[in-house]
Amino acid sequence: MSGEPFVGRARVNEASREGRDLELDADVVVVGSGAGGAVVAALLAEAGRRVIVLEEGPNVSVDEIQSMRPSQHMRRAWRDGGMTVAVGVGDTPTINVTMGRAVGGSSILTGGVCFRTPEHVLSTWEERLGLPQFSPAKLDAYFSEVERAIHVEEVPVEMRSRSTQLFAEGAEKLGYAIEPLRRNTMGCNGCGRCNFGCPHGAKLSVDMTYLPRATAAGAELWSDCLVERVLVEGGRAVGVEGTILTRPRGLAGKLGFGRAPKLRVRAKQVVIAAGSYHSPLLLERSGVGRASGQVGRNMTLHPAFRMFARFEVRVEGWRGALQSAYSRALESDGITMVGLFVPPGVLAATMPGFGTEHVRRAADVPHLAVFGGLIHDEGGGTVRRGPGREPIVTYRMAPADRARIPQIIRTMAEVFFAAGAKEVFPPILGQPGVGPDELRTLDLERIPALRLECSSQHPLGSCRMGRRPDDSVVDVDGQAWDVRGLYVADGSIVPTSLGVNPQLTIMALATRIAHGLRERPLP
Amino acid sequence: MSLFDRDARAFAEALFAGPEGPPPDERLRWLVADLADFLEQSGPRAWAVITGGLEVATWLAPPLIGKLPPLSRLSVEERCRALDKLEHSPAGLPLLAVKAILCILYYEHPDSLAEIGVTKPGESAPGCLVELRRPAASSGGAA
Ligand SMILES: Cc1cc2nc3c(=O)[nH]c(=O)nc-3n(C[C@H](O)[C@H](O)[C@H](O)COP(=O)(O)OP(=O)(O)OC[C@H]3O[C@@H](n4cnc5c(N)ncnc54)[C@H](O)[C@@H]3O)c2cc1C
Ligand code: SF4
Repeated sequence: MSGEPFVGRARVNEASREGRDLELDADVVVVGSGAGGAVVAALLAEAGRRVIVLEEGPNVSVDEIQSMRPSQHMRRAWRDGGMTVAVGVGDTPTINVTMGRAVGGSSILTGGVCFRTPEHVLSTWEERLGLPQFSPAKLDAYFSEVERAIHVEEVPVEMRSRSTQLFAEGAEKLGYAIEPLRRNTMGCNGCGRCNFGCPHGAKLSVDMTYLPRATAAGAELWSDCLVERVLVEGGRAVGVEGTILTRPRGLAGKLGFGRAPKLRVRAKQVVIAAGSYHSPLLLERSGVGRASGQVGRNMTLHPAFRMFARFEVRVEGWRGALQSAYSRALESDGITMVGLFVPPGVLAATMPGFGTEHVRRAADVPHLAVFGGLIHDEGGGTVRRGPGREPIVTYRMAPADRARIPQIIRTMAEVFFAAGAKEVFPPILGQPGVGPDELRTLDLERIPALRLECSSQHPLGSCRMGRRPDDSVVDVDGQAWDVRGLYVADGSIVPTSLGVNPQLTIMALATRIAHGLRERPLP
Repeated sequence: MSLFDRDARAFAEALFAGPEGPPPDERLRWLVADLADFLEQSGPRAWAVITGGLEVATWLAPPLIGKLPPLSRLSVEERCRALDKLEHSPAGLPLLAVKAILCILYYEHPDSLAEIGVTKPGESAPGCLVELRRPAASSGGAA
């Protein structure tokens, strides 16, 4: 590809409307239509392969997004309405891990932030994990290909919200460099709505780019298809089966009885791209990767903490790009600070107190600035099968990561105070705003994990790739060690935490896997 | 009124009660219906998290101020005190989920946004909310 990206709308077959069992046949079946799956689907379809993409979630079009409140987007396109968690084990907060469940996957929820994998991370992969295939020079072509396809551009300084400007002013006073972010946008007007789907089609998530390319090249994209098992015959993947997510009609459907239509796709190659929570679940259900003992382990999250700061002036942080600047001043401490903003209701939600206390605080919303900090974590997450369709995920924070939480909170608070904030609201449950003196007296090192508010948007690594079958789930080409023709191509294969937002890394790795598959003859 | 409606309303009345008392009945009815719609669409885990959090608030908060549950039996001021205590206790986390989702919904209502000064009377909602047609009373997710 060269020049302008291919932007359009994908043709989506809504399986729930069919009301019948589906039996399909393809060269390649891709499970999951998010950042990883969409890339593989487009590149293989363009190479002439007959591709079928199966997505559990619904199709949410730009037209629909235009008439949705943020919470309506959450109930339709976010998994569990945004309430998925990783349960903290030991001295670890329970973490709200958000992800998409729709055509386009989590890609449609992003703030559009794009980072290449930092060089020091790739050095670790090379030196510690023995993966020289992923040096910056060797990945450069894949990154460039993705950046062109999703139009990665720098956010102009004029688009910064007042919230971000204030943080930048404080950071400058304290000597922390603030740099512009790059985002995958074209014609963005800075409405700040990105996490709830872009109503203007300006965020070039995979539903606007790779998936339309895939269907234009002949791929079939099916929504509402929950894949439950990979079919394996003679050590080779030969397809998948699952359930179509629709309520059976009539009284039986209303009462929750009746048989949901089934789905079966025969294929010569199977690519799993269901994300870091669900790819390991699917492998485990299919009995794949057991010998390694690594399926569902090693998950990293980038645990993230927000800081709100109240200023005397009106900040109206919702005006301007949602995410426009970041700081890597604390990179050597394993911390990245990234600008963000959230709608007024979400801001009000974390204000302490009830009744008049809450209402008084909520009236401060127009005066609040926000910034976030994430930890370049060592891992500690485990995905296990739960009683129903969803996994049970736990996370035990490494002591070094736990020790970074007070540093994140203090640094972001000090930056806001340097910018003139009257008080800050640390991410501690029920904690009222504190001024500079009170902040110094807060014993942040001893705040119990249960009282910390922590979130994550970046689960990674639960089916990590590696050099040996005894310490990884897939090889460097994304192929499962123990089942031929079965590939994983999503965030779950990323072998370590990145310390930066991961979509570009995931898409570059998926591009590399797709190039490999294109060159390999079909069985 | 179902038990869920009763408990959600008791919580919301306390959370959003200003100096003049709880928000208007029409807005509370819309909020509770919208919450039910949210949970129906978001799936069983969201339902479990929120109803679990509501149960904790309904039954555990009143004893913290020496009162008998459920929360709805208490005056609005008592409910605020009880919930505040619960928020500072180790059981504060489930409470946060309920509070968060109620706030997200409540502050999508044009009148709530105007009350906290995000919009001025007659002004349309900021772009990050995009669309905020006045919801019909008790119309669930309608907007
Ligand atoms: C709110 C939010 C903001 C973010 N912002 C940024 C950002 O600004 N920059 C950035 O780099 N990253 C961001 N991310 C992270 C980024 O979106 C993800 O890392 C990336 O999309 C993950 O890609 P993936 O292919 O692994 O999974 P996903 O994109 O999540 O796709 C997985 C898909 O598989 C489907 N699926 C799961 N199980 C099944 C099954 N059994 N059968 C069929 N389908 C299934 C899911 O429904 C989903 O659609 C953000 C994430 C969130 C949630
Ligand atoms: S700021 Fe608005 S226009 Fe720009 S990408 Fe985000 S949602 Fe789209």
